[in-house]
Amino acid sequence: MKTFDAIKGRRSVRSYKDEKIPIEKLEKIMEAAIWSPSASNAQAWEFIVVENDADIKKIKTFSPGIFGNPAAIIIVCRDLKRAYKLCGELGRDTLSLMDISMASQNIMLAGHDLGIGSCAVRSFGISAVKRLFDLPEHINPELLITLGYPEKTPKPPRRRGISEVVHWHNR
Amino acid sequence: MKSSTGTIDKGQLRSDFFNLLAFLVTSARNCVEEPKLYGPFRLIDGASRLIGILEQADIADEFLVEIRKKIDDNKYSVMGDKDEFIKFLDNLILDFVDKLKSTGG
Repeated sequence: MKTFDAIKGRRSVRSYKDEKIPIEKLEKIMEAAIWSPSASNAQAWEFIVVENDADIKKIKTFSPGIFGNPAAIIIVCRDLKRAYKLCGELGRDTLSLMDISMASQNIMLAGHDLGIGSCAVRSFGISAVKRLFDLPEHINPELLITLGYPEKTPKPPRRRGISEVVHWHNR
Repeated sequence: MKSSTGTIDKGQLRSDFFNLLAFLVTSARNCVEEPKLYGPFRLIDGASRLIGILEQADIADEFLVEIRKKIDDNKYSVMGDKDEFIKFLDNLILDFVDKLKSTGG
């Protein structure tokens, strides 16, 4: 799939087939994640890949933003200690958030390229997930990405037009 | 959720309500910071989840099943079309009013 087709074709999928994702595909998706850019190459991220149905159910219990039954969930975390050590306060408070956002987009585009739907979810209990997975204090779960083979793919939502949001300077 | 003898499986019911309550509690916390429209969205999604539990327990009537289907078909309009979402909620209220009038309640 061409990059631009992946970018335009990806949708937020909230209805999944009852079908597991082969491990090779998950590994490929995670490889895409770690190749995303990061400020000062800090890579202050950690990813927890959850495939087990019982654990997925536990996450769902505390995640009002998850719909359908995903085959896997990636818990995208920031490593605040590493971010601070390598990039100071700016890294800890701002840049690391940008970095995991770019990694998350890589995850979703790579998934789409492999025929796997995804949805980024922030509506979850951060403290709940932290305790469920016994995460250390400095590891902050920031985003859940649900993955699975789409049962239904939503129509593209309306985009704000290029002329509305892009401003060519001195053109 | 009913056993072979027709009685309600209390263990399953307890588990379903636990999940619903965890959903409500987590939603309450997250609504502090989330967009304003997520509040009504969580409430209506909670209504759908509650009807789902009633369905499993064989308590929901046809009206409630229909309401749950309407909610599930329309709730995502909150993501893209606020006016459509509000209209859907208004119509849902009227469904309850009509039901109340038809039963003489």
